[in-house]
Amino acid sequence: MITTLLPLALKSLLNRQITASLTLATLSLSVMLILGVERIRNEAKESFANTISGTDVIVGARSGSVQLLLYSVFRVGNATSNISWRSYKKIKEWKDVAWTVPISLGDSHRGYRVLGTTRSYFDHYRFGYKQNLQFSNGTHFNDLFDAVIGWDAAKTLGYKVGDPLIVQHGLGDEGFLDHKDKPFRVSGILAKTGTPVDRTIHVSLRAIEAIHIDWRSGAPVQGLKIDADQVRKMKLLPREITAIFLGTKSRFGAFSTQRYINTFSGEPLLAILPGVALHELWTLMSTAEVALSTISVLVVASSILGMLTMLLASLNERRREMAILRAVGARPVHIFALLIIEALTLAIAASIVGTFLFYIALFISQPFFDAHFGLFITIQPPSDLDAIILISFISFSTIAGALPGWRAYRESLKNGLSIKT
Amino acid sequence: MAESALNIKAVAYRWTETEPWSLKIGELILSRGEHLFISGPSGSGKSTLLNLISGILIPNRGSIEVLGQPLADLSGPSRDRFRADNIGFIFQMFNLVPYLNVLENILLPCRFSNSRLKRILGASSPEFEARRLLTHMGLDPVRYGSQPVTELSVGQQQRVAAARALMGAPGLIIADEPTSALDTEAQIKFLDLLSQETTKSKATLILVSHDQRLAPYFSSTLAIPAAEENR
Repeated sequence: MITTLLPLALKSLLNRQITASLTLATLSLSVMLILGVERIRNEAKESFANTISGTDVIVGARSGSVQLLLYSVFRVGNATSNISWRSYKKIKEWKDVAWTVPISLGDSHRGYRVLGTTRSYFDHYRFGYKQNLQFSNGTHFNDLFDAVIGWDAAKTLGYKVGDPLIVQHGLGDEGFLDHKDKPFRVSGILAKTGTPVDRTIHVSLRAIEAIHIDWRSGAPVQGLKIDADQVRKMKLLPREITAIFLGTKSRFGAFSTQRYINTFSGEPLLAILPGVALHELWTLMSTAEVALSTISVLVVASSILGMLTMLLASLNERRREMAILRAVGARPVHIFALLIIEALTLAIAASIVGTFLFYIALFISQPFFDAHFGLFITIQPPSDLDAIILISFISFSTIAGALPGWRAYRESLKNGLSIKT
Repeated sequence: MAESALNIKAVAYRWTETEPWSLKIGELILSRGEHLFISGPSGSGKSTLLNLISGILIPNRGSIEVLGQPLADLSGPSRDRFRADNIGFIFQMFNLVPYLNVLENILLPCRFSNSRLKRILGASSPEFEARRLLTHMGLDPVRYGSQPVTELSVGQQQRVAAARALMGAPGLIIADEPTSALDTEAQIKFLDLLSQETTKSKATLILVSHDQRLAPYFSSTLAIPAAEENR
């Protein structure tokens, strides 16, 4: 039956080139859209979940867990208050703690956040599937005023190892107070991670202390001037830090450490488990995610409805064709199958064209997503999810084809062989 | 004795219970190979009769046997299959599928009926048979075979339709006003070719027309009176 009807269906569709190709275009675009949205959604979710890994607990001043995650990991927003160095040292000594990375935020450089930390940052900070930070050029900080910059920052600002860099006070734009008197030098550039690290300027905690040594309450102190060379000779101990990334000796250690910090007696602190907080943050955004998915499903549904309209509208002008087929021996079930095959053909063609368009779009938009959202979408063969989407699309289209099929079937039963024009 | 091609006994048909009979036939027996001309004014029930013979309509009374097969014994789908296997149709116009070329149109019956395909495969191939029939209908297959049917004249289209009706040698050819759209000269030529080829394939031909001038070309005739006299 299929060998008889498939060529007929194809030729009949070709005979209606304009409507058929417009329908195909609509279907293909909707396939491209849904594949695209699902891919971006998954990549975003994945990249989001992989922003930080290997860190068991994040500690900050007491606030909300999402807020702490946002400023410590995503460099979004500000800490309401800091952690005293004393508390940091106490936490470091806690029995379950294996390592700690103190970080200090608050300054910026041309829109990029400056993060003060220690060398342990480069040993323990991990992202993705527990990948370490890699240097693409240069090394850690050796001098007090060395800076290690993320890939995107280096690329956008055009910095190379050895270039000078001036840190601005606060997070404002240019024109704010800056630390002109103590210029930094780029000592290393990190390899791309696809995380906020790429947009971060890393300096040592001591350097953060050094640039603020002659400052009080957020402004330079009049008459007090300590220049770069003098400060190098000073003993620089941070008074405060913004957050701590820490690793525990065992998995369960994370819970006891969390409890210890949340009930810390010295000052009000908050400890979060990054996985839980990431999930919590993602849930906040899931409304947008669901909205996006819903829209793309609706677009697909409307394109299938469009095909249905096209097939149903064509039935009227095809009554003669159906009657001729009946007269040469086609049974009503053949007429039904013919329309189902037409819908199936359109759906399969749209899946192929749509997938093709999807890859072209992916290829074109990849640098855009990377540059604007720090979302690096890998181009890989269709996933299981893509296959499920395409198979459901084809199934639904075929099921939709049953409606015109059924109508044509009824018509052909009713009209018999008479050709009514 | 070979079964008759058509055996109609005491058949009556009406569209609904309350309506008067639209067709009544006491007896109509046709032996195989016979050519029957059915005439009658429009509304006399000619088309109804053809639909009854094709098994599309079921008579309210009486019995119809086509090529020895009582149609009442067949279910709906088997009537469809029986029709596809044993009856070739030619209509007044618009016989051809517009998106298929001449040969593809002629080949259609073999695609839907296995027994018509098998009858050809015994001696030839479908494509060869289609070309042969086209040649016999006076159209050169080399020139016309792969032409879109929309480029043919009405007369040529009717000849293609006739070749298609003859494909796979169905026992019965039903032609419903096949010449009405043709001019007189083309009518005569078409009838000549059709009856020649039907004779060659030993098929029975039933042709319906309102045009009495065609009657002399047929071995038997049946005049259906106008509807009022039927009641």
